[in-house]
Amino acid sequence: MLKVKIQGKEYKIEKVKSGISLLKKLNLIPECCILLKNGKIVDLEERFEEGDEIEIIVFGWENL
Amino acid sequence: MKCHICGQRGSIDLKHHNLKVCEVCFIKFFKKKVEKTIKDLKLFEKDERLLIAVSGGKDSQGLWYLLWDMGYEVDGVYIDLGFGDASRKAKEAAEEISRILGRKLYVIDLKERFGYDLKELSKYTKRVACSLCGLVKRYIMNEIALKENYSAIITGHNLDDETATLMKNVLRWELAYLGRQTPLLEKFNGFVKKVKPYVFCYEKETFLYVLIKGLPYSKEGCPYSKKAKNKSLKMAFHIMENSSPGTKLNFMKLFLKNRSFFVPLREKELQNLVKNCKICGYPTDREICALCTILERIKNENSTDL
Repeated sequence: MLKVKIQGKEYKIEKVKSGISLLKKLNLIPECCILLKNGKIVDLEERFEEGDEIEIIVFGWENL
Repeated sequence: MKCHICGQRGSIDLKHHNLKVCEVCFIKFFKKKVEKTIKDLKLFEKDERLLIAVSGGKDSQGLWYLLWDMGYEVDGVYIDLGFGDASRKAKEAAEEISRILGRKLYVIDLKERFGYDLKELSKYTKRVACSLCGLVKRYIMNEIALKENYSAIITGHNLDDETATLMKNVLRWELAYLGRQTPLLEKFNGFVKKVKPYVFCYEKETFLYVLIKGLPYSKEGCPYSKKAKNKSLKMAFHIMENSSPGTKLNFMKLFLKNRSFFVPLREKELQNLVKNCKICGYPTDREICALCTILERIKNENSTDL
């Protein structure tokens, strides 16, 4: 279970181990997102672990 | 992922430039990119007095900081449109960056200036808020720039904004608008020069710049932006960019290369802009400018109601 903050709201998302799988699950594409792990900008190949604080900044995308 | 520039661990993948970079190299790369745009397009010089339109959002906040960092003399203007809490937070962000840079910020309250905020203007005139917003902002910015002797007005429009607008105009074949769309609108008959140094910068890049630099910016969007037509075009461009990186940049660069095709229409439009509004003196193609026409109409309707 991963806690993910998107546009100020917090979500709990299961079975997600990397940036790529997280975006796929949320139906987002890299062009409209910036991914942060524990406050640091990370690339999509970044692996996540339980307890990591993930935030996605989304711009120019509506289907959330 | 390794940074292509310094070889250290990178975290930023700029597919449109086929470049992977670390945060430190991104900042240097981004600064160079904006510097090159200013120089190549001859937007402005170091000895000019510049005025930036600040909304409190990431683009104008970042651009003001970046230009200050490059050594330009830039002051800001913030226009309070009367969006309650969103406007208050945006104003605070604009004031904070002004303090950080030690530069002057003009704060104009629309209601104090004209007697109506944007929502009221939109209600009374039954005009779309976005078109009114552009009208009043252009008017106020030009007015301050002329009064305070600034040579250019800078806006933070990024590549995503510009390609969406360009596509909107192409889809409707708005030829005069296409002739008007340029990162450099030279001064003309009472209109101050207008420039867009972020014209080749992706929204992702302008966002990364404020995040890495830790600059203050307002996260509150415009309450009318959900209805904005440009949003769906921005999404369409994201999808195209995903399958073909560089699409937006090529679209804009090739348009500017071929823009001369539309310029005669712009020149024709400019030929008509030789009058000055009888009420306020603003350049116009009519006896009374668009904004004064609106304000006069509201005034007349209100006095009739009484």
